[in-house]
Amino acid sequence: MNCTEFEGVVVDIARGESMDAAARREGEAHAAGCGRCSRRLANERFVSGVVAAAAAEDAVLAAPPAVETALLAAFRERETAFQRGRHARLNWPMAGAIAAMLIVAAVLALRKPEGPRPVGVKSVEPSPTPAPVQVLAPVYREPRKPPVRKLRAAYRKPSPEPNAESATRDGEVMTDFIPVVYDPEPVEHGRMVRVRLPRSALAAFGLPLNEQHAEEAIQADVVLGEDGLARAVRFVK
Amino acid sequence: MQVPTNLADDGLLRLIASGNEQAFTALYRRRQGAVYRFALHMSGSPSLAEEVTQEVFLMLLRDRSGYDPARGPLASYLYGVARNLLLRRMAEDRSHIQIGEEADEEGRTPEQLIAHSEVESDLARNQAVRSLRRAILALPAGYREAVVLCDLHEVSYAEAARVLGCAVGTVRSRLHRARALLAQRLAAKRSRSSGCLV
Repeated sequence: MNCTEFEGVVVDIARGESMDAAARREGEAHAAGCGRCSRRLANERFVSGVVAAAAAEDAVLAAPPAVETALLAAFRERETAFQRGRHARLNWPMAGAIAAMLIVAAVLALRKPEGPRPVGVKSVEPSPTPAPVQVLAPVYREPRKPPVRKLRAAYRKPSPEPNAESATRDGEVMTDFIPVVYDPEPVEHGRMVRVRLPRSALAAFGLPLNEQHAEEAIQADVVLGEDGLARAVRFVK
Repeated sequence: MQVPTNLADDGLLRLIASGNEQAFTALYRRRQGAVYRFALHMSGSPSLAEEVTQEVFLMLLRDRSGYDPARGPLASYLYGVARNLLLRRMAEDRSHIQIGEEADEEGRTPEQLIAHSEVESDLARNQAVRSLRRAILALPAGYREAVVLCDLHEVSYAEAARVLGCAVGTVRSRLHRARALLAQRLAAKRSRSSGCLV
């Protein structure tokens, strides 16, 4: 090994780096017989010694406890926000499912009684002061004499007013009827039931929703066809 | 839920992803020392090292998916994040590197200045360590990184290359040059303090 080759291994020898054993032996043998390379190796070993001493001194250094405290606070804040976000994310599809389930539940509840079918019922209007209804207990309201044409018209032709809250009656504000399913045949005979739905159901029908009140319930009138299927819905405030 | 103390970093990260605070604490306590010391050795500023350590772990919280175990161990990833933050901060504020060049005015080589290969006494060693710290801070950033990672933190050439984003050969050559500069500066210091050439 000559001096140039020695320069290539001197640092690794001084640092104790794992290297080819033969190269190490050759390097050390060269340094033993070369004054300049011997001093060069001594210099490198000196640097390694001081570096090791510095590393040993610094081994106990650590970030102040305040850093850990701040990070844990950030962790908790992030987890809280994450939980809140996950809750909000899960609410939307769940609310839609609840709305659909409520409509189906209303249909099933009305189909259960085996008594005489109501005859000649053209359509139904909600009572002026509807009693509060539980979420899973749709209420059947005795039909009155509503004009069928009016219901059909409402069903077929939504009001051109931009505001969805278009009808007011007996202190109630209600939207136009919104078709639940596409049905080319108009509803000639049917029933209307009032149910309570989560407000998030508004969004499912493309209506604006105040997210702060998304958990609250809202009343809705559901129009059922003769087959018992929901045909249209309107929201009542 | 109690977190096993010997759980590997990846296992702790999985627990952290599920919101386990103890896992985060365990991981932080396991890795913060190296990150803090790296930042301190690179900057010479305890306050900056503190800030960088905090920011590194905040980034780990914010961007857990940024770490890919397939690309190397977590320790290397944390060094890399700390390095990027440090380079940005030091570029913004050059005052963190306060140590000037300490070239030997008479142009003497280390070979002429150093004959002893060991630190003879505690006093001399403490003095040498102080000189080394100043000399490391005076190194160009690329050389400083190599010395801090490979020598002070005993990171392998391959891992250092991963952290620095360069080839292993580059790490080796930077380390060689850095150590030559350190040897020169330490020798100059020794000769000044002893008042004579050995």
